[in-house]
Amino acid sequence: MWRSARAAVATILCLLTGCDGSKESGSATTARTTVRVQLNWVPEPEFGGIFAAQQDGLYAAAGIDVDIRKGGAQVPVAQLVASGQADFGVMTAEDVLTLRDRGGDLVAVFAIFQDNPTGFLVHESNPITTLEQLWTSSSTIGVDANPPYVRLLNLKYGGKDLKLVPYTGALAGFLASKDAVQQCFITAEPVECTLRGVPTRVLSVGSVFNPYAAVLATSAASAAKRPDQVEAFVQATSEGWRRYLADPAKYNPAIAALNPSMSLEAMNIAAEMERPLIVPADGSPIGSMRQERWQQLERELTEVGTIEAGRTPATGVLWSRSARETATTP
Amino acid sequence: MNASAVRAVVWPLVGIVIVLGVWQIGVALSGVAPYLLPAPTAIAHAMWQNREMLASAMGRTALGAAIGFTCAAAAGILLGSVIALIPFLRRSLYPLATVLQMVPVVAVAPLLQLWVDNGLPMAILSAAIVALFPVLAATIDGQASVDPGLRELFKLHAASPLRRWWKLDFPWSVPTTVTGLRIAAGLAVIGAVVGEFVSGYGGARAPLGIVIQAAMRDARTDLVFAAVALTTVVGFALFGAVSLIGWLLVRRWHASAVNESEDRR
Amino acid sequence: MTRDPPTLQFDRVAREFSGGLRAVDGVTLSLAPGSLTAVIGPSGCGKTTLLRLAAGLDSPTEGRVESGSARSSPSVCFQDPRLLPWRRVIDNVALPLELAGVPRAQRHESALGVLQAAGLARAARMLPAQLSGGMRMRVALARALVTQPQVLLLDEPCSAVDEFTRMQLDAEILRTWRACGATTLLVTHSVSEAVWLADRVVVMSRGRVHADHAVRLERASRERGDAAFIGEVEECMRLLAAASGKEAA
Repeated sequence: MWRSARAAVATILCLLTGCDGSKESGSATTARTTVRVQLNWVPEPEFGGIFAAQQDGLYAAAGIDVDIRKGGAQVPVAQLVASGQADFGVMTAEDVLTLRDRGGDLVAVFAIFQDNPTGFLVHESNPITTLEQLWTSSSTIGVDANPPYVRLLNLKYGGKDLKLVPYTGALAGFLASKDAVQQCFITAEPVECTLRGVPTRVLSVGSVFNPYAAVLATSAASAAKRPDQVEAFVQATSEGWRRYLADPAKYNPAIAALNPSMSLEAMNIAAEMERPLIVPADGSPIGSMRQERWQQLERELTEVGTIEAGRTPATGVLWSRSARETATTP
Repeated sequence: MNASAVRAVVWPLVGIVIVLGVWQIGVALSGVAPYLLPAPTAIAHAMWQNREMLASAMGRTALGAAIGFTCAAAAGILLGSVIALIPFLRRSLYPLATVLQMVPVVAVAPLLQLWVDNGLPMAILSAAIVALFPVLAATIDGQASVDPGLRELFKLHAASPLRRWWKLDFPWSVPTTVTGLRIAAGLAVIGAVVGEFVSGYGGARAPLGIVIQAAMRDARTDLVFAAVALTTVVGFALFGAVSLIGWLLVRRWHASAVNESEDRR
Repeated sequence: MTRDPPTLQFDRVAREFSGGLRAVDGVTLSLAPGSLTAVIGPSGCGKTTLLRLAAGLDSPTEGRVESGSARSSPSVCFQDPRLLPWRRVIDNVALPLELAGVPRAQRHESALGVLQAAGLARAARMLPAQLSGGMRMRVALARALVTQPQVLLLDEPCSAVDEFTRMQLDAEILRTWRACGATTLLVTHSVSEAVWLADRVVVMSRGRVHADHAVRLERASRERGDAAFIGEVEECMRLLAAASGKEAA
């Protein structure tokens, strides 16, 4: 009885203090380790490269068993990764800097989106055509709860007449009303609407706020402990993205099987639309990131009050290991 | 204030202080990250720093819960009385009413959004849906379990069903109905918050449900705890108000209130 | 000499329940107006069913029950007080008049009257929860009298109280019967109570009347410890035993 009580207490403390339960791999060559990758949404083309790498056995060849876990609207991916309940996670760059400010040790290892695919979806019949018009109107907008870009838009344009309601990801509310406006990913909801014959327009947020919209992050501690594993994961993921973007139709069926709410046809279109947002314009490898963009994000987040100036500088956010960081200036 | 009333307040307070103390020490000793489990001092700090925003959010949630509860109470008592009075209705409608209880409001709320305005109306509707069944069931139960001896007394005097209902069944059922109302009060707050999760207003008009969501997103776990604690306060306040009204109604004649005052002597 | 028509009369009355149980199995009984008749018998003999038939709470499956008159329905006092706990005593006592549509001032006056006569006026504004068991029974008795009934049915009114309170209640019953002159049927399992109160003791068993005994003592000389009184009680108990034994044999 005592032994099981001690074990229970140890497990609880372990969860609270953030020790992870993944097996220690003494040598990188023999044992295959399991790596948990937490997504921040349901399986969609925005995670195409990861699924492709898994499907083609790229991770397995690197000695990693990858367990891809789907996410959703309220899943706190950053916290899960920082506390060790997932090894890698897909999150926004803001999530990374925000949690670092709160004391979580995260480092970003790979950028999925170079540019921000977030926008506001309006019906074609809606007279609003610019972000400024939208933000000074009295529309009802479905958005995430108080994300930094909303605060930035509030700073820029005011927005006091707006009615912000929660973004649940469901299209039903949007389709029901011609005045409806909601947050979207340019590769997702607009595609769905087009396929259903509903004409829409997207007001892109990227013109005002353009961080790395989706990155893979891991905890700094585990990256320091197992740099080879992180490097192997990153390399496999990069190759997976290359293959995915070259031939999405090969990999989309497997993703569609995991996500009944998005059709295969929509996924194929989305994959095409997202390519220019993923492949770096300057020819660097897929996934590369630049320090200056993180500094800019740090400035923006400080400006809207999400993080405190100088508390956790962004200089430590990029996990540096050989070719991950490029020093070219814009 | 007599000694036992003081005891009734002091001991729970002592308990709370002990729990908070253990929590504070535990967090400090284990070094757990603040975004996972904040210390009570951090939560209090967040509460103080955001006191204006939290106060108005609390007011909004309380309003939604209170209005929803009141609608559910009125509808439940009215509907329950009609159902209890007519045996045919009791046999046919009561089983259907239990369906109300089974449907999880979390699943239904997105649907409701299509028919009802965002913001306060949604919170009211969710609160009312969740609070309705306990009141309905308690009202029907109370009125259907009238002392048969008293029923016979009224039968002896050839009282019409309506008069018997007004002079006997309804007053008899008040204590049971009050029990249902007390349960409904707590549930109404939960319902209001669920409604807010689905369609509460963000920004300056945020109710507690949205504050919780925004704080989660922002990794401000101390603020999450603060908002959740305030949600509990709203629940207690509504529950307390309903309990007080119930006590006032029955204190002089019902066993529950009479026994309590005798225990204290 | 013409006789006054009796106001409580059973004519070959039977009450059969489903399954064939005949709780009352052919009873013919006629109560003289203004008399006080006690019905005794072992448990299950049908005395309570007989009273309920007289009250109109149940209907005979055979025969006819005549109880009260067109103007006046019988009043019942049950074994338990059956007071509405949320009403004050005076409103409880006034209930029969209230249900009959009597206006408030009038019914309160009548209620206060019976309470005063019973010595309960000071309890008028109290709630039943504040009264003792005995006082509640007295209030119930007062309520039965507020309509000035011609027929009064008492269903074991003293069985739920202690011996001393029983004697007090019995005195109360005697006083009220004398005051209102109603034809009274008292069902009881206490033989001494029956002898002390009644003109006539009817012994029932298995739904039938087995003995009908007139009490030969003047009320004024009925003393509970008295030899003559004890003799009457013993006589009734013999009749009771005979009634039970006959069936058992």
